[in-house]
Order: sequence, then C-alpha cells, then structure tokens
Amino acid sequence: MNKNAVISGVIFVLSLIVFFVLIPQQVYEREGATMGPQFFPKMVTIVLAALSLLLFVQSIFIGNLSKRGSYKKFQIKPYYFSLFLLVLFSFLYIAAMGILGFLVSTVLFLSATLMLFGEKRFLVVGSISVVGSLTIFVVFGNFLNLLMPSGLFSPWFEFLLY
Amino acid sequence: MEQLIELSMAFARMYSQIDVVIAILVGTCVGLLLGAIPGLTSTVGIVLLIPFTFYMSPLAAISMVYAVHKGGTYGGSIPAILLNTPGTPAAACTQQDGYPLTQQGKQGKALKTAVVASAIGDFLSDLVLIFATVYIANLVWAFGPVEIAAVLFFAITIIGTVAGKSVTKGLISAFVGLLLATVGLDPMGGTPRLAFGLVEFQKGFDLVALLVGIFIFSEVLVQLETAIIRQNVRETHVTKRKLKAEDQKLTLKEFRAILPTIFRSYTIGQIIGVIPGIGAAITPWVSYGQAKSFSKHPEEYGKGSLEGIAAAEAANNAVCGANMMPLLTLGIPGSTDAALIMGVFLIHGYQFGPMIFQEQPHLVYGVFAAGLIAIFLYFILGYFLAERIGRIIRFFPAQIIYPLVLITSFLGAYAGNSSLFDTGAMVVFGVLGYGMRKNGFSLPALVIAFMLGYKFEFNLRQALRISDGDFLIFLTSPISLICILFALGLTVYTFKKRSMETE
Repeated sequence: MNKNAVISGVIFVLSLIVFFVLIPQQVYEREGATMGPQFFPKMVTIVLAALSLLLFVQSIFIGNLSKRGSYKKFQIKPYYFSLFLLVLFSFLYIAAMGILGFLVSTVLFLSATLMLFGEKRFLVVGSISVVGSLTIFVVFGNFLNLLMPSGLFSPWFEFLLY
Repeated sequence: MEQLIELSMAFARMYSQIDVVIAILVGTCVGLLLGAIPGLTSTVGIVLLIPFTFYMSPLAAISMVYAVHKGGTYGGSIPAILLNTPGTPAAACTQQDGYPLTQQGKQGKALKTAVVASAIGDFLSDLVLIFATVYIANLVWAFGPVEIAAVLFFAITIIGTVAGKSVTKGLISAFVGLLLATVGLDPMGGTPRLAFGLVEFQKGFDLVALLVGIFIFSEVLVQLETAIIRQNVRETHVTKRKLKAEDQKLTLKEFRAILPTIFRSYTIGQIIGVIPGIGAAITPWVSYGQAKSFSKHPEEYGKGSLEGIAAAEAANNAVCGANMMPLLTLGIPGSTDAALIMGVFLIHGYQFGPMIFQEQPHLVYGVFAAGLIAIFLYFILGYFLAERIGRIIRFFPAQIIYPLVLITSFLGAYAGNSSLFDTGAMVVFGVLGYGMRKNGFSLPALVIAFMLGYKFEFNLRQALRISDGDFLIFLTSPISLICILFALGLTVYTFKKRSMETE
C-alpha cells in the first residue's frame, strides 16, 4: 500500500467519525432545523471525505507508475526517534512548567533540545540554557509583563521580576 | 489626492510616534536577518514577534510585522547570492544568477542589483496599494452575504488549488482549516460545537497557537531532521580571491540597462500578487522567464546576468504590496505573511473590509507610510551592509538558534491567553504541520482557510437563509457567479495541467 493511499484512508475514516459520531454528539441542534450549527461542519466533512476518495484514486494511479519513481512507501527513518523525543520533551516541558515553574523547566528543556540538535559541548549547553532562559524570563516578565507559569521553584526567582 | 493628503499626514504623525518608528526599524532588521538565514523566513519572524505585539499600540504592532514581511522578502536574496542557498522560497530564482556572480567575485554588484530591484518593485507596488485600493474598497461596499460568501469560496478554493504541488492535497488542507475553524461557538447562534464540554475548546483554537505550531514548531522539527543549514554552509565556499572595486558597484549604465526589466517584472509581480495564494514563490520564476525571452542576451541567464537578478527580485518584492490589496478590501490574505498581518489586525480588534478605510484611515495610511519607511530602511541596510549580513549568517550556529526559537515559540503560544492548554495545542499543530509538510500538503491553505472560516460560514449561512436553503442563489448575482465559475474553472484547469505533468 503506498503512502498517499494510507493518508487518504485515514482522512476518509476521520471524516466519517466526525460526520457520524462527533457532530451529532458534540453539536446540539433543534430537530428539523435547517442551516443550523451542524450544517457547516457536516458540509466540510462531506467535501473532505470526497477529496480523500479522490486522493485515494490518484494514489492508486500513481502507485501504478512506480517504475517512474512516483511510488512512495512508508519507511521508518532513523531520525524519527529524535523527532519523537523532541515532541515528547515538549509535552513534558509543558507539564513541568506547571510543577517546577517556568525558569527551571526552561533550563532543563533547553539543555535537552540543544543536545538533541547535536550540541555536544556541556559548557556551551549549560551556559546557553541558563543565560537564554534567564534572558527570556527577564524580558518577557519585566518588559512585556507576561505572567509566567509558576511552580515549586518560582518563589526563588521572584527577585528577578520587578 | 485624498490619499496623498492622508499619507502626508501619516508621515507627519510619525514625528510624535517614536514607538512606531522603532517598531518599523526593529521589524525591518528582524525581517532582513531572518529572511537571510536559510530556513527562517519572514513568516517565522512575524510569528515570533506576535507575542510582543500584544503590548504595543495597534499601529506600531502592525507596522512592525509589515516591515518584517518586506525586509524578509528582500533578505532571502542575500544567502541566495552569497551562499547558493535561498533564505526564502521566493529567493530561489535569484540564486540562478546571483551565485554565479559571487563565484566570479562580483557579489557586491549582485547584492546591489538585488536591493535596487527589490526596493523599486516594492515601492511601485506600494504606490498602487496606496492609491488604488480605496477605489476597489468602494466597489466592495455593494457586496452582500451572497457575494462575500462567493468571494471567500473563490479565495479558499484558489489558495487550496495553487498553493501546493497537488490540487487535491491543497484542497484537503484548506478544508481541514475550515473544519478546525468550526471548533468553538457557532457564529450564528452561539452554540458550542465540538467542544467536548471543555471551556478551552469553546473559545475555538487560538490563532497564535495555530500559527506558531504550524509554521515554527513544524519548521524546528524539519530542521532537526535535516540540519540543512549546517550542511549547506559547510559545503559552500565563497571566493577568497582579491575583489576588484569596480566589480562591487552597480554602475549607472548597468542600472539603466536593467530598468526596463525591473518595470516589466514589477508589473508581473503586481498582477500575480493580487491573486490570493500564488504569492512570492512562483512570481519570480514567471518574471524570470519573461525577462529571458525579452532579453538581448538570453545566453547570460543562469551564468550571472544582472537582468536575471533584477527580474526575480523586482517581481518577488512587488508581491509585498500587491497581496495586501485583497486583504484590505475583502479581508482575504494573499499570502501567508498577509494572513499573519491580518492576524495582528484581528488581535488588536480590527476587522477587514471596505469600512476600514472610513473607520480607521489613520491606521491604514499609517501602515502604508510604515511600508514606505521599511523599503527605505532595507534599501539602505541592504545596499551598504548586505555582505556583512551574509558573513554573519554564515556562522550562525543552527544547533543553538533553533532550540532558542523553539522556546520563544512556546512563549508565543502561551502569551495570548496565559494558557498552557494553548501551548499544548501548539505542539499538536506543530506535529500536524510537520506531517503535512512531509506529505505535500499546504500549510498556507490550512491557515488561511482557518482564518476565513468564521466569516465564510457566517455569510454562507446568511445567504442560504435568505434563499430558504436554495444554493441557486449563488448563481443569481453576477459577482457571485463569476467567482464560482472562476474558482471551479481554475481548479479543473490546474488539476488537468498537473495530472498531465505527472504523466
């Protein structure tokens, strides 16, 4: 099965789920109402389902052209693990901001992403993480008055904000 | 005449609005620098600056992002000429003749040609924007829900059709954007839709979280995957030979020779730039092809032709002003950057359409004046400092820049509503954006359709209520009929053309 066929299949199934399950359950509409709140989302999902079918047909056609190099199969690439780690770190960072506070969680997240991007020098990682996080904290906190997420360690650094 | 008075007054007011002038300067420099760093386009620059705009006056905020747009569009030419790596997709055409000139030790001449052509193209397109837009806006006054819905249908379809490589995938991207726009309150009755009982969903997806996720987080994922900049910079060798002073100047004779090309390319950029979705990436290639066919020396193209650089740069910068025209008159962004500028207008509570010229003339003409100042600034910076900027970006450590960009993007998503939910949504949109990029779907189509979704649905349903649900109402108005026929015709034409190309 080629890549586009799988993608079109996923979009088609999702469109059906949205049309038959999510919209009836999550969009309240009076019985017999025309042009009510369900009208537009339903119209969009119908078009999406139709387009996904068209993509499926095209992908089958392109699949037959595999000799010309248009056929693309799913492959597990070695960099997928790094991408997965970055997404995982991002969600952990969001969770950590509410527990540890902005500054400490940012230092940890920045260190992790710097290493993920290939920075091997620990001194550089440490200094960039600390200086970068502090700069962002001070600039956004003081000049833009942004209320940073607070947590366990936030009181330690309140003196940096005026 | 009225426009000239308003514009003069806008310039006069700049004396007492030092914050606006600083914002334009910052915007131009950020745009120029980010446009010059391969992988970081003006789009990224605007998205990164959006959190700062929350705390600025509307004019300063909009002027800053408009200046980023202009500076970034030009800035992409610097690495295209010096490093053989276009900073933005729009500058890929400039590379054709820019880098061969660098290899000949004439980078100064190439850079000066690029900045002169960019500034002239941009300036002329801004003049048309300033003096013609108000007349188009007056025509739009006659539009009712039927016409507005049809025009928006046209815009969404065209963006979906032409923005990507595949018509089907482009349209799927646009309809996913429309579906995402339905999350939140129903525009007619206020009923929560697809909210799962959560307050966060009832507000609808946050625009900034969507923009940051789709454009920046996905870009960081792409950069992590490929590390393009590091590879390209290491592979590129700039000539170390001693440079001749006369090879670094653009002489008056050379300027005169490229002037007709600049005007022709500006005209192409102006015309194509008005059509939503096509944008600055395609225009330079069209103009380059035209310039080559008109040239007395077509054999020099691709080997270091000044005309080639002028054609590409005048056209891509002419798009800057041109794609603001549908935005200001109809509320339809002509490009991703225009969509982001529209986002900043919306954040500050301004709605687009013809009424903006009557209700907010100070703001509109202030932005026009800011555009002209930005052109002047990037011309000066580019003319005298482009080579130095090129030297700086050559040593930009990508492994440090992207993690810092990532942190700023988290704060950007968080800043709007001080909400960690929005930050999480940003990551999800980032993963979606990455998947879309890797599989040939169109990010601009999704974002622009998302932004137009609310207005499109409102007008569509209003029109259908007038007609008791009869879709034929869209064939009764000439404007609506033309829009629908054009949209369908162009979709079918593009679909057939691309199918033939595949075969």
